[in-house]
Amino acid sequence: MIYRRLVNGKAEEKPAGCESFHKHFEVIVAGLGTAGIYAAISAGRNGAQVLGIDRLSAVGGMGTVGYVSGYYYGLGGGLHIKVDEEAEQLAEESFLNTVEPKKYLFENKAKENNVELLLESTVTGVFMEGKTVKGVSVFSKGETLNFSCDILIDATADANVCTIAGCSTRYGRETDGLTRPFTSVRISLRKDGLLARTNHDSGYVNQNDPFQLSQGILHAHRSQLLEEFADPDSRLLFIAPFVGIREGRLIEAEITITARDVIECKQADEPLFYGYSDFDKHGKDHALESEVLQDLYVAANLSTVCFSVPVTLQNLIPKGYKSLLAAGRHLGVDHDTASILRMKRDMQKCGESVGVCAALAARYGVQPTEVPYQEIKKILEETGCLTEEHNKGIWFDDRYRKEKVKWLKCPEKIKAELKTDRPGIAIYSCKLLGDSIVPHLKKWMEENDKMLRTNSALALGLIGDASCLDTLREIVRNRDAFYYKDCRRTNQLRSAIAIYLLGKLGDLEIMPTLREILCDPLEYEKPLYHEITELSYHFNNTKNFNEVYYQIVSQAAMAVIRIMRKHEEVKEEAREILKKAFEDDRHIRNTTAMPPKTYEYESMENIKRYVLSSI
Amino acid sequence: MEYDLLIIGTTVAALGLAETAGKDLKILIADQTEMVAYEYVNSFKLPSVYSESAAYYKRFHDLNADILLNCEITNISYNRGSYLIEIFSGTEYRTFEAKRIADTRSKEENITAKSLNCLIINKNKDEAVEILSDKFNHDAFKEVTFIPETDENLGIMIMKVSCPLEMSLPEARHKLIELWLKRPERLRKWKIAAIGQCFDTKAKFPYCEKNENYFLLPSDYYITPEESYEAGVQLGRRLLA
Ligand SMILES: Cc1cc2nc3c(=O)[nH]c(=O)nc-3n(C[C@H](O)[C@H](O)[C@H](O)COP(=O)(O)OP(=O)(O)OC[C@H]3O[C@@H](n4cnc5c(N)ncnc54)[C@H](O)[C@@H]3O)c2cc1C
Repeated sequence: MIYRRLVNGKAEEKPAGCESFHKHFEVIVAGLGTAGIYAAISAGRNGAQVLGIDRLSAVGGMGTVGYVSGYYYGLGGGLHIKVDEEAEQLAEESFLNTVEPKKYLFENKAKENNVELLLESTVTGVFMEGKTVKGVSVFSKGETLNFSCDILIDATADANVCTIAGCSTRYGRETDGLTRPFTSVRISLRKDGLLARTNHDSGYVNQNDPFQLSQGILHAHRSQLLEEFADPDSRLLFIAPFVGIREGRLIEAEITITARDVIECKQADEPLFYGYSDFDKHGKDHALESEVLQDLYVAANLSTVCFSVPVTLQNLIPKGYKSLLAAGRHLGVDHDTASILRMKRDMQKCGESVGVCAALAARYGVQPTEVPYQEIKKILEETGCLTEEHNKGIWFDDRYRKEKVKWLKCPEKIKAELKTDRPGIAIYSCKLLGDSIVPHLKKWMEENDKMLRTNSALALGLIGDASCLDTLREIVRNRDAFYYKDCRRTNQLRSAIAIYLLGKLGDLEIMPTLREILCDPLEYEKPLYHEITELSYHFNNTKNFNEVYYQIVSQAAMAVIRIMRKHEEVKEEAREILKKAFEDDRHIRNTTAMPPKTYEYESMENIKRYVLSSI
Repeated sequence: MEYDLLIIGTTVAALGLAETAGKDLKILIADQTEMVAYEYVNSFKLPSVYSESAAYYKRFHDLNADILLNCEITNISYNRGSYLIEIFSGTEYRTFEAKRIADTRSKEENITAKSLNCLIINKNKDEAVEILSDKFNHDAFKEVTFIPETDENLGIMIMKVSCPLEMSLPEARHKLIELWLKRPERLRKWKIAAIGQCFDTKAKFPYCEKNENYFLLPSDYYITPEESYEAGVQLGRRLLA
């Protein structure tokens, strides 16, 4: 057996014997946040002797200490239902919200279920035999303690323990390596005696560098002083003492769930639970996201469509490792899917199901993969963690629009939807149908109905058919400011969609127009950037952020890069355009007057940085 | 990495010290949490001070110092005029050297008293006055002190529950909640808005030199943050002299 820890950027491994351990537990849960506390309770409930460790002074992680008290999508079910009810009841009688009741209930339930809690304690090292995890070292109140276990659950949200153990992880998006924006959460007391929680997205930070992360946290919280966030009608009680990080390291799992799997509704034979949400990506810099996501989110304008996603044990096992499971938002997904599979309800079910697998594996003295699935399933079905109804498929699921989504196959139905201002499902269906729908789309491009013509062009663009080029160019040249209305938020502007598609198609003829958008100082004076023509759209919905200008300029910059990568012959011209466009900060300033390091500022700064690093 | 001074704790005294000494010394500040000025702000020690957290974050952010939040100082040793410090943060241990150390936190053994505080609210602002004039015939509430706040619309009070020195924060939270759930009828309409994220403590002494160039400057010795800040400034001046 070796003891492994990371020191000054390097792995340090030393031989270790069993005498190193203070105590043995069947299951150890590192991190008792949203997922971890349920992993611990569920493992204990299924008979295991459990040690739960967290570096904070309370359990519940982001949901309690981070003060993310509400739910956003996810599918309710399992052990959390009863805890939520009890917390609501306690809150009604004695508290202003459920945060303190939850900490209290979680900690009591842990004890009732044979879980020993070690709070204010940090997992700092692991014991391993080959790739099998045998235990952990914990720094707790001034001393280091070592514990052995049958199964270790990493529920640290950032794959911290997996990283110490040497597992492969991934971090951030492909273009610039950034994760979703993080957030300062402020809790205030309103005049009416109720609590208000406000999230201020705080930009982007390298979370793996503790100095940068610390500066990021200080900066995010100091931003609460900005005039934009001032609220004279409430009194600040505190800033949540656990900063709101949405995405960190993700494990390289035995099987990774990709955005393509999600969109195509790939089914799983042995699901442990289902997650459910839209691609809640937060950042406005869609242009830097993957093409798989942008095809759906930008080109088909389907930002708020929700998908149910089955999660299996294979998505929770770090590749090649034994006796180690992950529970929480760092599960085996790609960056795009991490914005779906992170919601609290789902992370609670993730913890619960991992706890069951770990307890049964410990009971039988086998690896979690060797526990018969039917046995796990039975337990999860009994609590409601796993149900058939959770396999919901694809939905518009909000007050603006509530309907099950089915990708269309019938040309007539597609045509009917392409005639409307909600053509997203039809456009994406065309992408899925591919060549077979192209003749229809070409025919519809010749019809009189303008909406049908342009939407057919967008669909052709998404399929990759060049017959749409003239129409797409015309949309951009006219700076067509029409907004689609598929979603309750983040609806896309027709021009931005067309620019994205022209970039994807590598269209050389659009280069002069892209140059104009990026380099002509008069571009910003155009009325579309200053007049609200589409009342249904929350124009510039973040204070002090010119969304129309931002989307057009950011997509134009990325389109030039795409075209340059496809056509060697325009490389110099493209470089010259991009250099000129970003030689100063005018695009940042035209987008926002907010200071550096704010989310608004960094949205355009990210584009600038990426562009300059690409030329 | 080498520093002239390691300050332990992102406290108000640490702020005074770093703002003063940061002009000439290379400083590292390390804290176990990601809170700042917590001994006044997150402990709900004094009325209204808790609302100033963003301003404290700004002052820490603007310091000329390196700052490590959310870290554990796992080892400190002394070697030929310099301290060797091992800090764990995220996934990794890092080693640093510092010529001097100033610890601005209060250790359990150096505290005279501690309480866990919470903020309680009543939509009827006049009831605070009535509660204060009440003498609770309730044994459990003997360990409780109420400090009223002025507010135009609401009844707001800080409720302080004194705790044994050896009690951990989670244990104290449970004690406070259990006490609250059994509160006397007079307090029924009051609700807890927030519970302190750290203890409200009182150190035994204001300052001492523990070892050569190793100073203890417990920020919580002082009643107000202004005094605590001033103590930090004074130590900073001494170090620069
Ligand atoms: C600002 C914000 C708003 C959100 N809003 C919503 C919403 O409205 N609805 C919704 O459903 N979801 C929301 N989410 C998403 C959701 O809250 C999180 O994705 C989810 O809580 C993550 O759960 P987790 O268990 O993976 O991580 P966490 O809850 O963060 O738990 C991780 C735990 O591990 C501990 N830990 C880390 N390292 C160590 C270590 N080395 N040793 C010991 N302990 C360690 C941490 O202290 C923490 O307690 C939001 C997220 C953010 C950031």
